[in-house]
Amino acid sequence: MIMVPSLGNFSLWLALCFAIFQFVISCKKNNQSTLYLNRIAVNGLLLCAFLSFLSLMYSYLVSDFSVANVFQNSHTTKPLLYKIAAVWGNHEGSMLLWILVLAIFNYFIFKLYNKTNSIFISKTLETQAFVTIGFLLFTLLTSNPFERIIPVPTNGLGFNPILQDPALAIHPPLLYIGYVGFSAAFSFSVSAMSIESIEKVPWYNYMKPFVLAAWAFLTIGIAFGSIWAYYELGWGGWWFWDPVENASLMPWLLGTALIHSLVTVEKKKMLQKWVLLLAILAFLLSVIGTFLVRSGILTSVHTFALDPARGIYILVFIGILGTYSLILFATSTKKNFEKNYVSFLSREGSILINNIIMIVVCSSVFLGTIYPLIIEAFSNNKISVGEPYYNSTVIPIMIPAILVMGVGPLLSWKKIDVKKIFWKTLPSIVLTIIVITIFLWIYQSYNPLGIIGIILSCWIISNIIFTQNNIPKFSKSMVMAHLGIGLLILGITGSSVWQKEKILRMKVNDEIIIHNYNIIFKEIKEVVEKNYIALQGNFWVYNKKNNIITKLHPENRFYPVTNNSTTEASIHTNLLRDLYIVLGDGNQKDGWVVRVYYNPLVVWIWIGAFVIFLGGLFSININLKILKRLSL
Amino acid sequence: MTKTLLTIVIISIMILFFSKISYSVEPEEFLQNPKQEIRARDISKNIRCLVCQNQSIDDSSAPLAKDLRALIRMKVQENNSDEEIYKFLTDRYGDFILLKPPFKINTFLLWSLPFIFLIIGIFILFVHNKKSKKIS
Repeated sequence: MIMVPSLGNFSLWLALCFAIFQFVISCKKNNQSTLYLNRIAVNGLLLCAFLSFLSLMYSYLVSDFSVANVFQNSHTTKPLLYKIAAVWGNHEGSMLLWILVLAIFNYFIFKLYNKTNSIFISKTLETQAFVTIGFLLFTLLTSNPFERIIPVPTNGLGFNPILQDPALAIHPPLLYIGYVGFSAAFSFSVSAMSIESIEKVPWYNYMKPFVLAAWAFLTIGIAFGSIWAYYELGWGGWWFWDPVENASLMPWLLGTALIHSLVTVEKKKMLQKWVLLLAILAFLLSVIGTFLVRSGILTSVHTFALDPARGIYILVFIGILGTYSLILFATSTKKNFEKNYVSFLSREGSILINNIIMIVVCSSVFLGTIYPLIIEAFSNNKISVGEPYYNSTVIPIMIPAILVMGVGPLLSWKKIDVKKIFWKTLPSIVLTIIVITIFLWIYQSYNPLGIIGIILSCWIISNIIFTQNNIPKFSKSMVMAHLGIGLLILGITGSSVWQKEKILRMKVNDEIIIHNYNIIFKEIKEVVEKNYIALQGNFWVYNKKNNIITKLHPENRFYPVTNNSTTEASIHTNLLRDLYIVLGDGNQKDGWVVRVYYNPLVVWIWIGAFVIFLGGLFSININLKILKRLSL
Repeated sequence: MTKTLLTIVIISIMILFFSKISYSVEPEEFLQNPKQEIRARDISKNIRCLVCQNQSIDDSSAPLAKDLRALIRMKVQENNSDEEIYKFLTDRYGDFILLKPPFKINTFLLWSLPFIFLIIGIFILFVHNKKSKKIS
């Protein structure tokens, strides 16, 4: 089986051939034989990408250390799940996954092929093939996962244990479905702009399920990353405005804008050009995100300059894609995309407001992420952009977006009767006021951000409750996603405004009281596992009535293979709050540093994200049905 | 016998490595006066750990961050104002140390572009609204 990595390498080159083949035949005039040849190309590409991916996975499973990639990222003692996840846990392997997902989306686009849309789909496949060629060449030339080393090492270097975690194991595949999904939107957009008689093709109906898939999976992917950061990094927080996080947030924000304006195009043929531009930008930002994460430029502009091959390749690729698509966009404006004007007080008006705010938020995240790099590259100064910048730019802009979101779905297209809308929303206004009064009365917490958060969340959720019956069936998935946002805001507000923190040194049998809970440090012991050893604390948690609620076991782990230490927070979750304990350093004599957090409502962040994801999935289903009806 | 030996080895390894673990601000660093302590922590949350990636000194376990935390607490105890402390730090380490970059010529675009976009957006909204009224 020594041949498997070579097979993987070979099929990756073969995949490149198929991609080039697909590109060439899609450029040509359409006839029956192009359909046939395209089928060969699309299936061949998918098969080769899959085979190549499986080969790398096999090499990880059998710990074939003749493959440099396996040697650098794995070890024989590593648990099976993480051997599999290690395939995409590193740069080269993750590019292979990116290519596989590209090939899968490529296949789904091809599946839409029929007599009425052959020119449109052909052009889309051509663009898709171009993108695939770009990534295949990148992988083969700068980041080949199948490079061998001689002599074969006896064991691998291991894998950063902080990344050995189930949430982080599925985080990259979910994110990549998101990023790559936008490549389909990009290709559809380029195709729509370059075809003469595009009015006849409902390109937006083709684009929509792909955008929804990208956006839904991006949502859940970001959520998993957040969950991981929450329990693995041990700071009690779940979002750090890290450039890597921002890289996934930016396409998500544009994706959110895109989904909403696609509805306007679908229903009223408005904002067509705007949607085409958004689709391009969403994918470009996905690739820019990959560039930021993969080029090493984030660590320092200067380390990037030392080994710039990968970074420069992606930059040039972004340049080509960007220049081509944006020039196409600029020149195709003469085309007959219907011109319509949006009135402020209407459904489309609320969607336009959503889009403007998403763009503004995205631009501030973008600037915050790249501005320090630009300053460092072009001057001798260095600046930092951290959480305080984002908090002061993103939060105030988001508030009106969420207010509009509560009422948007109730508005009718074109023009609305303001009085009618007022009566419609009156129950939710009253309920919101009641809830906030009760809240202030019981908790006596007058933090302005907290109050705003509760009001926004309550406004969205009560609007959904009171207008349940007026919402048409096909909009239920939208309502669901909005409900998810409402819950998400509740969780974000609770955990960031009312978090309580205690940091102290504890000896065995010491007690600590945090928000009506009494926590006793019972014992500390060593734990030996297959690939790590750990110090484990045992904490018993009692409530006010002195009943035991839970026992928490935070750990400090040491992984001998990679010489890393990690902290494992121990968390007790219910619908109202998390109790979160982290064990720090210390000894028997002086005690151990213990950090205890009381985090209200955190679980609603994850529930909210999951509800949004489900809403997205339902919507994909509905839109695929619409698409099916179209092709009949 | 092998078991005890193994335990000894494990414990010695642990002492070697776990002694290095420390997370952010430590209980011994806290100031007695709770008001001063809250001020010191709020300031440290806005100060970048110079040797880390995207971490405030409050979150960081680096020795340099610890020194800076101690320095800030000392300044707070000496009744320096927030501005004085920030100025003291930027004089020595430059704007790089602030997680919220100050509004200056070189950060003009960083702070103003989102608002320029917002204004353009509002403008577009009004143009649309006006033209749609004309048509109807």
